[in-house]
Amino acid sequence: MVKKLLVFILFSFMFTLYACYYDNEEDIYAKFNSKLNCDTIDVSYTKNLRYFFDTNCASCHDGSHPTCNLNNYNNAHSYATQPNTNLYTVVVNNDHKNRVLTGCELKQLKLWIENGAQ
Amino acid sequence: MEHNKTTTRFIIISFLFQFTLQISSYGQDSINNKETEYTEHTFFNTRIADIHSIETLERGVLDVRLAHRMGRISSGVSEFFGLNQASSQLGLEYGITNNLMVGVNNNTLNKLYSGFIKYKILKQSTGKIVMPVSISWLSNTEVQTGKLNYPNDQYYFSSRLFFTHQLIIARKFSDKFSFQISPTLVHKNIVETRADKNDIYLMGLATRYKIKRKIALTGEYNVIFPHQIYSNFNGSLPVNSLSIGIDIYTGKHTFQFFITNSVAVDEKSFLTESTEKFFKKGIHFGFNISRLFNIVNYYE
Repeated sequence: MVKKLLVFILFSFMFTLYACYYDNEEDIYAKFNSKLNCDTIDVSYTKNLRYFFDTNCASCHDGSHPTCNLNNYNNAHSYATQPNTNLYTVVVNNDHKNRVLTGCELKQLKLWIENGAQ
Repeated sequence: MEHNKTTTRFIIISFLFQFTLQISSYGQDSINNKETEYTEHTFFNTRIADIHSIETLERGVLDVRLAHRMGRISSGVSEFFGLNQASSQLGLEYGITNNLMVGVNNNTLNKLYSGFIKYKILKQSTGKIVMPVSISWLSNTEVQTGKLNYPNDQYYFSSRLFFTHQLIIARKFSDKFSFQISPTLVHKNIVETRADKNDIYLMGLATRYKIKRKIALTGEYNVIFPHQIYSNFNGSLPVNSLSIGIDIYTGKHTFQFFITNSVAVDEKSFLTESTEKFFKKGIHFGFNISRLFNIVNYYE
């Protein structure tokens, strides 16, 4: 009896190992939930990214940084439109000052750079 | 170069010396025919306050459990200092062998059902076999049966599942003092944002100090390692859970009374979703009552 129970428990445990997923609500439930919807149409600095730059970048890149200032639209635009700009790479790799951004912010930033950083 | 050689020689000699000493001590043991003495009752119960302790139930023992976590003590007279609100857990746990136990629990918060398996891998012992620590393994699965936030029931069943795995290492330093660490992994099949980690690593620290033969002070602290959780629960980021309490052991009953900053009783919730700040009026009263029944011996 004990052996049978042991086998059952071990099988149940093995089953739970197959039940592991690495999901997040942004990816799999956004279509069901308007709260999670991400605005990706006509992404602009004023409409979508001003808050992102102000809260995540402007405190350090405040105009005193010689190569990369992100404290206003003109500075952010000129940095984002440089040839081979690393703005998105630095942000998406999440290795810059441990700033962690939501998937929506990353998506918007990528679209904004690709569409000429308007 | 010469210095390196001397160091190497010194290391080899000391190693050999130690090895010889160990061999000779084994020899003495066998001559004295020393028995192995296993340490018992490192903790009074299978729980400290919230987290599991090293202990497992003996074979054929059924543990009927009731646990409550009340509201904020600071909520005042109108809420009877938190006692008017409660989240509770009912549990049935059973010892299949002396080292292996299983259990099922029902939690009122988030309507969670959980099942776990705990196995004692090593026992602290002296005598013929010397083992400085006891080690147990815990695997816990939780199913959230409460309503999810996604409308029209368009969700995956996997989003309801949570897993907790814990390696529990404990040592009874003296008859009075025991200490335990438990590296923990909580896996959530779904998290709120991409930034949040599905695998959350923690370290549990727990201790017991006996003040009387059957009364002990207990404490536990579960540390969430940084850069894993970025989403708010109930409006603020999760904090480490802390509990301080007292255990009263009567043989068949164990009463555990404590103050804690976690509202939930189930593993994943108190470990990764406690948002109350212990030192900022976020203290809750909680208790566990455990009653043991000898099922196998009773019918034999």
